[in-house]
Amino acid sequence: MQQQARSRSQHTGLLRRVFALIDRRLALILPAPAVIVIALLMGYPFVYTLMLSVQRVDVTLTRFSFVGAANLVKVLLEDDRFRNAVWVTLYFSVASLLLELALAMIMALVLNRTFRGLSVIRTLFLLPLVATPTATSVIWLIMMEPSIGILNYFLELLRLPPSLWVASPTTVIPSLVWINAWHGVPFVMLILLAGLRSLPREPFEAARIDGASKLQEFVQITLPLLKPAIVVAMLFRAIDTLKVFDVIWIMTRGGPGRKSETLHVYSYLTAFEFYELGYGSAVILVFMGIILVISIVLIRLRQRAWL
Amino acid sequence: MRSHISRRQVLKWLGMGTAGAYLAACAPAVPAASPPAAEEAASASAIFDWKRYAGTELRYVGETQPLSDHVLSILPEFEEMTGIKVNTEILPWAQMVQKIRVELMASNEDMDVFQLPAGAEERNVWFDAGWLNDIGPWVDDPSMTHEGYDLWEDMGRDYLMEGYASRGSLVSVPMQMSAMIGYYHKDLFEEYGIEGPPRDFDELEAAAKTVQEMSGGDIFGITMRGKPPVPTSVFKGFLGGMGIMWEDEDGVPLMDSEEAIAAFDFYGRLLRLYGPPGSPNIDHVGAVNIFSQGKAGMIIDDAVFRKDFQEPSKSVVAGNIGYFLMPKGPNGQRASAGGWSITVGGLSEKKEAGWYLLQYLSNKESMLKYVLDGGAAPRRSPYESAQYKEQATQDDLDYVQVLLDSRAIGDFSPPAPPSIINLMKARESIAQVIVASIEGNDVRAAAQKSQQELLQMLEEQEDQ
Repeated sequence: MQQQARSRSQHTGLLRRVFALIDRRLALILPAPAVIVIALLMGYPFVYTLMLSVQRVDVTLTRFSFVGAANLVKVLLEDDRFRNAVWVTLYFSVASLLLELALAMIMALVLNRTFRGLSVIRTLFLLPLVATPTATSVIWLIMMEPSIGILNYFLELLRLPPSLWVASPTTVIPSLVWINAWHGVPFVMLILLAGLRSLPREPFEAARIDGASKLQEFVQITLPLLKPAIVVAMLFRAIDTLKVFDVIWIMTRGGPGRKSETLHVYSYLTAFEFYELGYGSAVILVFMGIILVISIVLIRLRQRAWL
Repeated sequence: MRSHISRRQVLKWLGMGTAGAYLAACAPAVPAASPPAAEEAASASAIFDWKRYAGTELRYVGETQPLSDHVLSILPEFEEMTGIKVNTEILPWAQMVQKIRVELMASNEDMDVFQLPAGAEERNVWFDAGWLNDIGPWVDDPSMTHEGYDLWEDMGRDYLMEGYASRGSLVSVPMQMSAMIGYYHKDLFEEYGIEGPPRDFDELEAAAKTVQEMSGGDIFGITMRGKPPVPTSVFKGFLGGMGIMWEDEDGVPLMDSEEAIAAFDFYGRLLRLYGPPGSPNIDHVGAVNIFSQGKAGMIIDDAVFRKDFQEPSKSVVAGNIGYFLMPKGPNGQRASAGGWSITVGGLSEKKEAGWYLLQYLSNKESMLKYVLDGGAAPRRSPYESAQYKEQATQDDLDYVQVLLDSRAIGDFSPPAPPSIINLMKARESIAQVIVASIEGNDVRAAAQKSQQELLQMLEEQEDQ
């Protein structure tokens, strides 16, 4: 009896100590599962990429040799193709963001009014958001086919000269920007619309009393007040656009020539088509660095916009 | 000098096939062989036993393409005859290559039988790594190979050793006879008064020009691949026409040579002036579609696409197509030749059973079935068989004739300099010159850039 009681009190003591430990380390224990999952899913691939980037791997993936920072140095200083990819990525991303912002703003202003058929139009505007980029890219590719595509047929009806769309070195990026914007505009529009709905009425009423025109109202009141929403939308879309791969890969594979070869396409080609895993990893690391810098700048901008 | 196989020879083979079948039919039911010969045959067949590896389970990895459809269609018979169970994995090209590479790299012992994706130089690396077998000794061993398999004679020893060997050892067995051939729209040629298919580069350009001009630009003169990296397989024939191939005897690439520049210039000019707009973004699938839709007068591409062109549900030009050999250039005539092969994995624990599967897939009967179903087999015997002769139309005979002629002028090197292991990267670099040429840019500058890139690839290869 006495022994049982002692054992029970020992158990209770142990439990109490465990609970006390949990209480003391609660800040560490609660986020632990999430930290472990992230470490496994993101940390391990990152470390592995880092390790690969300092090696040269041959095409049969059997021979690995340590080359130190040689891959990184080559990417940053000697690789013309990488520089071309940086330029193409920036051109594609900036053009996409500007077009998306302009179109989304117009759509948000239209949908911020009340009129008959509003809900139908809103649903139609949101459709591209749910479409699968891979499937829609194939459809766009068929529509943009220079000799049998429907877009050139429409141009012909309008008595306009046909375009080569994604097959021409000059129109490939504008065409891809258009397709990317088609996917992204609904998302930006939703954020801007939410921003418009939450704007205070007083400044607009005051402006109207002072006799401000609609344009003045938009430029001097709506836009400044909407800045936080714009920055948030642009932050998300910038990260998404820098990462775009499926649309470009399906439509052009980086061509014609290397005119639409973004960093993502280039790193994929290097690592998985040319089987240069070491060099491809170095390209991906630099690409990651670029995304990180752009994200930090945008996050800072957002913080300022909220102030 | 390379031998040229004439239409007459093909008909002779067919005739011999029929005569053989006739004699066989007239032969007495009991073979009249002399006793020792009969004994020898009996003992050989006694040694070889299809059931020897009954109960074994094999893996077959192949690509999603008509060859795999053929393999899948004859597997049940093989399984019943041998008692060997075959698990198949049929995947799109890129996934198949990745799977095979990764598993071999991980020394996976159940990569038993697979479609070989390695090019000539890479094949050597694979062979050295022990990933491939020397198949030759099995072929010559009567206890391992069934009577009547007859590989060396029926396919041609030179053909096998030129296209499917590594370091003097046969490492895979070809399953398809393929080559880059020309197809033309017969009615259109007749309507525009073009006399027969083009025989040389000048006639090729003239025919393309006539179609383009006489149709008022509605129908393109010619369509070919332009999207990197795929055009290099077709381009090889143009390079051969100018009298060179990818590299010199020392393995140094020749992409900035005058001959190569002339070939790039000609290929690009054909597509720029007489090809569909946007050719730099058109791969083989696109080019095949354009020709099938009757939008182009000619196409030079793989012989395997005949099936698509002649299928009325897929092609408006079905039944209206002629074939031609890769035209002759100013300094030669070469056709890119090849065709996928199947191999037995060198790391496999069940190599012998794997060889049973491979020999069954590539034996005379299977190849005959493949040919009767519309495929092009690398064996001669299917074309000599009575069954084929009965079934073959004039179109079949024309097609086979062009294929056999292509084989005679065939070049089996990979679609990029063989000394460079990184085939894809080399192809991509060379294809950029083709794009520059189609777009009317400075071909010489682009060729020099590609040459530099290729030399750098060689240098990096040596560093390893």
